[in-house]
Amino acid sequence: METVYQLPITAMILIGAMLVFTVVTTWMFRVQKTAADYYLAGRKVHSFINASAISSDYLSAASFLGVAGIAFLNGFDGIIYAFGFFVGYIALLLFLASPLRKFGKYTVPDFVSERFHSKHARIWGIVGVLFISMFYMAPQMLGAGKVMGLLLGLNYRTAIVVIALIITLYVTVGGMKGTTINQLVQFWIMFGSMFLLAFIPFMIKGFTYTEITSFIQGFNGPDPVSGTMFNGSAYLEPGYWLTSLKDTMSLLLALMFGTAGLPHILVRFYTAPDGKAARKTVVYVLLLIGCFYILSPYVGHVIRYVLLRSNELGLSAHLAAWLADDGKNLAVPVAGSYFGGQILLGLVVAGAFAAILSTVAGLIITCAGAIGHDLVVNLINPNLPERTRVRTARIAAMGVGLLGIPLGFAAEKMQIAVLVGLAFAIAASTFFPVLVMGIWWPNMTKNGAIAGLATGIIGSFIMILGKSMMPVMLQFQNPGGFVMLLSFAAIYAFSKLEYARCGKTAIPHDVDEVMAVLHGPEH
Amino acid sequence: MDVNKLRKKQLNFALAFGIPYFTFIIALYILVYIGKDWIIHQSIAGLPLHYVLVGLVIYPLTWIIFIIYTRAANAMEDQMQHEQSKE
Repeated sequence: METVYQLPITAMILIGAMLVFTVVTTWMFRVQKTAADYYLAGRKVHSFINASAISSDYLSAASFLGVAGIAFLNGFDGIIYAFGFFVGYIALLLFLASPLRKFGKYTVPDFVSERFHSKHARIWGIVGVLFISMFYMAPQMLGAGKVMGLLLGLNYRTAIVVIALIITLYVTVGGMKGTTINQLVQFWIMFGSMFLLAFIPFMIKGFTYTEITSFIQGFNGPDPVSGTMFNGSAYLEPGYWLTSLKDTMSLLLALMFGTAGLPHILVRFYTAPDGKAARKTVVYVLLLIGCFYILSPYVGHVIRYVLLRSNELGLSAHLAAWLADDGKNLAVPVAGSYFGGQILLGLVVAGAFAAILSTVAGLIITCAGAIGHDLVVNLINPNLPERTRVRTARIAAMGVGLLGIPLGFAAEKMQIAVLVGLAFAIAASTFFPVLVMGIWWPNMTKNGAIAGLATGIIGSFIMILGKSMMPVMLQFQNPGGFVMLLSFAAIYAFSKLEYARCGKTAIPHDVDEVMAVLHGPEH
Repeated sequence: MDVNKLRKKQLNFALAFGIPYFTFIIALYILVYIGKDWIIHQSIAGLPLHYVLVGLVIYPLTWIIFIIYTRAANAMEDQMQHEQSKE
């Protein structure tokens, strides 16, 4: 379908300013004396700055474009993503944030390895980090290719290559400190865009939630653009998209507990000065992302309302064409263009760019940690000098960043929100059970940890990629909740079995000291 | 200082907030899906009740509960530190 579209000048100005800022901060933080500087910004990031950076890391293309998009497409059922992404931070706050920071290492594999004195646990941890991050990076590159490509006038593959190169360059040079400052700015661009997308229709146009839902509820007829039948009252009811309670619960559990297993989010808590600051950071994150997730489903519904009344409300032909072609990904840009013309569309383009940039940067830093720190330094050569460690981290970051290009190419036919949901499923079933049990259950053993990680990784792999071969009762849209329960059961059973076989020697000899570090007062 | 006592105290404190909260969240979704025929006919200020619960109310409710939790958990840590320094 032919579209009439020009790259808005605001987008060029904002993206240009963001790139200049990125270059400046990257240059400022190019000198990284130690590996802790590179991976963790020297562990001195203030709670509010850290919260903005974490929110920016977290609000990926899936949140910025996908949450409103899925609400536009699936009505009430689409809100589960906003709800689950938000609630996900509670498990992190209650069970992990402060103890993980007190433990004071670089990465999640560090924790499992040092808690259980096991190289095998570290290897499984590295596999888990890479597996989750790749599933998370693929949809970001998909967003870069599809949405940024369309908005910046580039073809799918060129957009992916350009964005992957920009991110790789700035993460490789700037490390966590440069990345944190950039993410702080990127968060406020994203938040500002979403705020205006909700403020203009609600306050200026007077499209209240109540008016929108009552209009949609009464609509039953052909969609003005595609001509397909649209039942407004079903769209607003539970069960329009998530038709079984089994699928709904498994998806809800994956979203609720997946956040607490995402390695690129967990690693950020190591950057806080202490455990109390880590907790405060989560509260700030809850406030920031909560505001964002209240607004984005509303924006999705507003666009559905505008589409259904497109003849009266004057939705232009090219915006209607965008919605008809790819409404699930383009609802937010359409809202920008419709409510704020080229200026707001420009801000939205910059917001989408910021979302992709910040999340992929966080993923690259995390994978670089898993490869550079966990694999090279801890497993291959523990005597590597500090300067070489920083160089190793940079080489790992470059490799992972460039890996985004083939990942993006491979994900071309997939859906952003679904892929991110699967990354949450793997995180919920891999790291969340092992971290929670490892932190709070002193009798957990090395075999329990390995069994938990292996169950999460292999179970998710089989249930996602081999879904069609599973019996119907074991087929889930998102298997996260189900595999997470299996993983908890595996940890418990294997720990008990090891204890029964080896007695007290099954439990790490320094468990009391580790528990004192995790739960005792800080010095 | 008895580490196990400290761990259990902190775990019980986290569970005292976590169990009711997560039970409420899961029960809310089960209610919305199982009690759909009833809930879709309810509204508050013209907005369907399920939108009010899942799309709006949960956010401020969560903020309030967990700001209280964080203050109390950090105060508990301060107290631990104080007790340790006295020892």
